[in-house]
Amino acid sequence: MRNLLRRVWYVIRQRQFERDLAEEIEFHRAMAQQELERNSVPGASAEDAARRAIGNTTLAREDSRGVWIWPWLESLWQDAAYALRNLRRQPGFTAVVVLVLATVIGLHTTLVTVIAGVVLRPWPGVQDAHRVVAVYLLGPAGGSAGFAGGLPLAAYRTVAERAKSLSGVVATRAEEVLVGTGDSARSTEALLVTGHFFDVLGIGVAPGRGIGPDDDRPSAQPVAVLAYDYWHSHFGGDPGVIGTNVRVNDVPFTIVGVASRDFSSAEPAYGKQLFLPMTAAPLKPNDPPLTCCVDVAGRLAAGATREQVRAELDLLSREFVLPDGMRPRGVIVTGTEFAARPGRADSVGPLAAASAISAGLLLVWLVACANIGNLLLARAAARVKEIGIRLSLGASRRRLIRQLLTEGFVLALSGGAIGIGIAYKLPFVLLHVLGGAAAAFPFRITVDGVVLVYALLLAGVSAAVFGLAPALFATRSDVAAALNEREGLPASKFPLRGLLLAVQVALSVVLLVSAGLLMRGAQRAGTFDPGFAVNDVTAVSFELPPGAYDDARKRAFFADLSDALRGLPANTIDAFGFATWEPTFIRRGYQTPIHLPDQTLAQAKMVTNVDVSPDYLNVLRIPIVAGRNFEASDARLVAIINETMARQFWPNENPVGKTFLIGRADSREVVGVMRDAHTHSMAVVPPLFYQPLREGRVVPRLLIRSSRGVPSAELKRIVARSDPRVRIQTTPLSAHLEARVAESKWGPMLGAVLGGFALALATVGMFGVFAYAVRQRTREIGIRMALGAQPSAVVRLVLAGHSRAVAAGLVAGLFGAVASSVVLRNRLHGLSPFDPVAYLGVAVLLAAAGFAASYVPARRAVRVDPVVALRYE
Amino acid sequence: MSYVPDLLPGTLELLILKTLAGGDPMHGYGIAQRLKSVSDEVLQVGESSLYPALQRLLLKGWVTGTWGASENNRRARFYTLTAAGRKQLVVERREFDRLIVAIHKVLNPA
Repeated sequence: MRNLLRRVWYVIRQRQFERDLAEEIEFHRAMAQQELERNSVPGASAEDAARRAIGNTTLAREDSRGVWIWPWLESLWQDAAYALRNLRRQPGFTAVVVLVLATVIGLHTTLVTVIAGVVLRPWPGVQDAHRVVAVYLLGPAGGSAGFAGGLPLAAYRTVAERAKSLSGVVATRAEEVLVGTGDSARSTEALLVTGHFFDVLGIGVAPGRGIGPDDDRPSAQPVAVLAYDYWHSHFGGDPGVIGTNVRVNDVPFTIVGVASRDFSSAEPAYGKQLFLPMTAAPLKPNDPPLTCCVDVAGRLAAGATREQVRAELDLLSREFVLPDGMRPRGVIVTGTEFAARPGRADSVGPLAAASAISAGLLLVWLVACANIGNLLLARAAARVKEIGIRLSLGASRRRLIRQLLTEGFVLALSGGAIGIGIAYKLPFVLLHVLGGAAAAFPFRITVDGVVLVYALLLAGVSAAVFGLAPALFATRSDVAAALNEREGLPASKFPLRGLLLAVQVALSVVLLVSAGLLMRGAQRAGTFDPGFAVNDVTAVSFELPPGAYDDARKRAFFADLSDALRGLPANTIDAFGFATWEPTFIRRGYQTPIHLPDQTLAQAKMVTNVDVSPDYLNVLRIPIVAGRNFEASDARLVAIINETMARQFWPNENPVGKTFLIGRADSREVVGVMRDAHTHSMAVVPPLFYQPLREGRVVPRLLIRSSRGVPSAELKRIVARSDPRVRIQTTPLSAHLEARVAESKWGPMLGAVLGGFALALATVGMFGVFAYAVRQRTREIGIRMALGAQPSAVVRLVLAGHSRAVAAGLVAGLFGAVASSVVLRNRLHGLSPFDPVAYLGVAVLLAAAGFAASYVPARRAVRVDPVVALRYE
Repeated sequence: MSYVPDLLPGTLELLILKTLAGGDPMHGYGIAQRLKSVSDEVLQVGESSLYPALQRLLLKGWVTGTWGASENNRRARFYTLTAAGRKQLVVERREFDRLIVAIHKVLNPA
């Protein structure tokens, strides 16, 4: 303790201490000299003799100081300061290296954040989350139709009552509800939960209490639990809100509690504002009574394993009946991690995309390290003399290696620091890219200490990887050789260098071509022809007053609406129709297993379908290419399919008049084929069929085509006349398109960033190698020029050696690029994978990069003055 | 060249403490001279070991240094033993004796 205080005192009074020490040692030297003078005769050399006699005073001073300061700490500080000075002298080099490292570290850290922190994490805010399992039902039959999904409500009840391997079972279902009254009512995401949800999962509720079993009965007083964020954003975080009422679908619910903040980023709760008892489900009358399907989770009974649960539920599941009358094949029991949900870890899921990007990044990182290593090596070559002098002055090799490594660390840490900045911002952008619009990523991401540590670790490892070899190499020369030899490392060839260069070039070609293609694709998406009317069409969705509409009334409402629209003055609107979903350019709508009469159920394929009114195709201006359009008299049993579906199910045949089966028994007759249109995707058109809308069963959307704009005022008046409680919302289809186009730009942007950095790396790499070649052969060039060599011959000489590596990289890269562009094909919006513009652009870029990388070294070579070069030794 | 025999670690500190135990403040050069003369010129301590050793003693609080005028009227730092240093001298002395006995036993097996 006292020691520490003295050390601190030393640090504070360091200058004074050092002056004292210097004076003391000087006094010692003077005394020694005096004595030598007294004893020996030649006074002139006494001073030197004294110096020799007492040795290295500086070393004495350093060692004495070392007593006070942990010496390694001080030398570390010195090394860092020295490295900083050194790097500042070469701002270009430093900027490139730091930027490259920052990007690679930032991107990688981001991915790790997302994958480890979110995707592989069980539900947060749940007690002992590792003992909680999620249960999914395996769909009927095998083959492609087999899907894993939720359980019918009846099946859930069976599990809850009879499963012995689970100590508690809960079910949830997401539901959109209206909160508030009148014009201030807002559509809000709610999670319906069963009565034991809060206790079985052990979710913290403060203030207030969770929903209990007594609340989940049909006769119970309706209660609601608020999500933490909702409580803050809509109720100001006021604890007094407990006990007050909130109107949900026009029914007063008593607020009884607020769920914990942690739980709000668990998958079922993500984005939900309210938790309501499951029995509240029928309160939303637009839907048929709740039968299918709920998400089921349970807590393992003491001592039970997942395998036991699976075996038990497999047996129970034989009694389950799916809504379409079929039987499930069994159950899947998984943990609650995002990645564990069936279908997420498959080869096309977001996880696969994340791993692909991660692998790519790892490669870029390695190449970056190798590249920076090459650069440092070239720098070390220039410093061999300096290092030789330091070695001869008594610096130990270890000390020098440490100093060179410190330089690497300073570089890496600066890169890492910026990388952390990137990592803080990027996950949100990246998730957007990975999830797209179809799969909203149900998580909140936190960038925390773990990420920080990871980024720094990555920076540290980078520094070791790219710094060690050059440091070892530069310091291995023996002193005399280093001082005598011409500048340059002891002669040795680096075939590795050429290989690394080739890999770099190849990789940047692949990345650049991919990025170029994606960007061209996005550009095309902005101007692409969707194949149907987009600009003049507006979708109208309806919110009917809760509880007031049965099927008959719904049918009457929409019949009135149609009559009123037809009664509008001529030319107000061009056409209108109804559909369960408007075209949103993503695969939205029902997916049904379809097979042909001569196929088995196991061969069924999932096909998207939409229920539409007879005029729908006319509204969207999708032409019929074979057969006929719907007619008002059509029964439910007919369908119009698109060209893709025709090709897939009836290749080289006329599908009109053919029949296909839906599920086990339902069948449809194809009456017409419509032209492919991008109603459900931006890129490839999926198979699709339309069938007549069942009036009254669902609340469809109204689609209006009008070249003079949608008469929204009239529309509101018409609706209000029919029922003032009905609320409508209009969305032009072009808004959907714009959103998709904006989304589709993220991928290309990420690609462009990666490609740009790969190019920067390759350029810097080439530059380093060429510059090194010139430096190493300065003397040879001098001799050649003295003997009359032409400058062009000198340039060829310098560049030739490594040009072969560059050329090999180009060829390999082209092959890789072709392969990757074929993989990317269905993200190109119909652009050819061999788009000449993208390839030409990359060629131009690479040529420019090659020129930039070789210009300076070549000029340096040409400017070698023979006299200087030869006198060099 | 000054010649310092390889001493056991810590021995130089012990010798300095012992040299200062007489009570008179001494400067670094004086300590070195005293060691040299007392040991019949065997222990010639160079400053590159002497001053770090003195700094270690200062750090541990076993000696204190005060600036004063030397015999030839130059400014010099004079070291004195502290109470803690005196105690430490006894401890180290005992340790050292034990060590010497041990070494002796090894060299002259019974």
